[in-house]
Amino acid sequence: MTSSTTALHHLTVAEAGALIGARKLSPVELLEAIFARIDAVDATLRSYIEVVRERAMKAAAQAEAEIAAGRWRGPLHGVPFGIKDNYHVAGLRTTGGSRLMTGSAPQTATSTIVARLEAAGAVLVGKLNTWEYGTGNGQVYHDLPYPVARNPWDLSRFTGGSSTGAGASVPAGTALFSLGSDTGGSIRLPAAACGLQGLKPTFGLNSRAGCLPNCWSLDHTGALTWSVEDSAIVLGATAGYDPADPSSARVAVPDYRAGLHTGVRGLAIGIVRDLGPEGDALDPANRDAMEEAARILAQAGATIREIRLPAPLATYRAASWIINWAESFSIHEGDFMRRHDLMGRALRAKMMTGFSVRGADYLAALRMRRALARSTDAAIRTVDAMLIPGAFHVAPSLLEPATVPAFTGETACSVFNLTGHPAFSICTGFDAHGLPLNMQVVGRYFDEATVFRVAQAYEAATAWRQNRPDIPAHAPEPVMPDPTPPAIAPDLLAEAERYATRYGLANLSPAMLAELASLFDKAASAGLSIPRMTSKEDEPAHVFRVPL
Amino acid sequence: MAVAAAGRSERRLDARLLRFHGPDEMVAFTVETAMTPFNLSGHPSLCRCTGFTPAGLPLSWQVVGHRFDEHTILRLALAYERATPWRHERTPVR
Repeated sequence: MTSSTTALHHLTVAEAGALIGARKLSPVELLEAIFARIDAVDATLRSYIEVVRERAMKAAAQAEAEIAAGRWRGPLHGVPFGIKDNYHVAGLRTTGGSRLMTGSAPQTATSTIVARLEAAGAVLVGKLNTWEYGTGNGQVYHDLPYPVARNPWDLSRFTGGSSTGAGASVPAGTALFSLGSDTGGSIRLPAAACGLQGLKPTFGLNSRAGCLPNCWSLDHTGALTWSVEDSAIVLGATAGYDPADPSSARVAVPDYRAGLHTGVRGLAIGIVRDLGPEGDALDPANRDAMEEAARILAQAGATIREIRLPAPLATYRAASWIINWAESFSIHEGDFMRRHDLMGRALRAKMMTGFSVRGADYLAALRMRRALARSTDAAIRTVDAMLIPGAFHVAPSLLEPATVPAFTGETACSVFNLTGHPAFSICTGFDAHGLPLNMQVVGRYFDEATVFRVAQAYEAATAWRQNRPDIPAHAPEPVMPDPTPPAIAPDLLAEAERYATRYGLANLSPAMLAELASLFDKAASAGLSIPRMTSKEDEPAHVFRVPL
Repeated sequence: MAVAAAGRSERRLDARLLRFHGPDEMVAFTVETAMTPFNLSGHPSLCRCTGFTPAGLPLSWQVVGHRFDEHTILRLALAYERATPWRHERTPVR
């Protein structure tokens, strides 16, 4: 538990909650410590888009008064947290990190999981930095209205996207926990790059209502935390059925802390070593750390068994990208067609890819998604939990922009957006340069409790949570990605231009047209690469249900 | 409650239509309908005979009801059927 030397802003949620509950720590004092930390580091770190000081102070004072009156609400009462700026909060502006929304009116309703956290007494500190609308093409172009968040472990490095501020804030102590959202890894990638524990829960466990959509089929909401126990505490407050989210699952929410410390003796834990040819890109340090984790869990009494996913990573990725591109385009189509000049290049590029996806490929991807979910679930059900790489690389350097898309793209994260299984990115140590390593702990549907139990056993057996980053006063200027448009064959250029004109996108600049042509090609290649069902009757792509 | 929705307009329903006068007319019969709204929305829809043209070809409309309220549209259709003579005769094959 808390050592007397721990700075208040570096308390875990569990520690802060226990101290507050025991009236040894005032929520107001804790919030002031967070404000002081923000003042000290955030001009450089850029974890927040907006800090809501007055609102937060009011909530902290209220928490203090309630607790003084004997009305302690539980372990989140008085605990300061930040949310990615794609969660709506009544009375606050949501920007989505986008120039399209910087002048938008304050929201009128609060997203379900933020409302649940506030009902549990947690104190909202502010809106955290994000990639524009929580998405993009994997690159950072430094063209958004808010400068990119920096990695607290090395300010020249990227936090991972898209929940950039959620990743930067918790290790730095500008929030005790944060909410992100995850369509293809956007909770787990910042967790991996920033040395956090980031959970993408089972599809349907956490409500998405009131969080800006990026891709209805694959979006998940969830928390990034310092410790496994903190993740269990936050999920306990956020999880559960919400009629406002049509994908919400009617399942009972257990007490995730109840069995947390019971160890792994007797558990069968799978390890996925072979991810197909794409797996070759995995950093040796991440591979070694996962093997070491397996050894630690074996020593703690688990049986480790190698298991394989039913398809190579490339199949999951292609289906996931097609769905992501197409749905995201549908969401932002109006803005893209009329105001794409206000979009950053990363979002615009994603829109151009979505603009080019064929309906047949989108439906093939949805059918493949169901098939992969079933076969992956069959593999996962042979064990109690599974270890699998997450982000293949450590946090990329903003001084070497070519490494940024590789960090974003070379992962095994989107597998579980597609299948819906709970996937927990946990810190597995640090490389020779002090950069966080990671792996994923994956579980059966709605069995977050076992995922937490395994992750907790590993966390307790290792010393990684005792490290905190030292944050220098200055961050180096980033190097801009090469703006040169790709070289495109004239016939492809002409084909893309005809297509763009046909669908209402006329008068593109030569650079944008060249980019569109390359993405037109990329969308076609990904779509055609999705294996087709062998039977016409396999995997109905859409299930329309009445009542709605 | 059930509502009646138009099938084909009387003006366009032509005895020649089903005599294979040309592919355009065949396509027009298939396409110019108010059927698909209820495939899309999922509401129950009953298409019933509402008489015959001077040339002896059947006319129709749809009775549409609330979701899962097939009972009411059947009641309505039955009341109409009892009040009209259309079920009394079989059209001879020509």
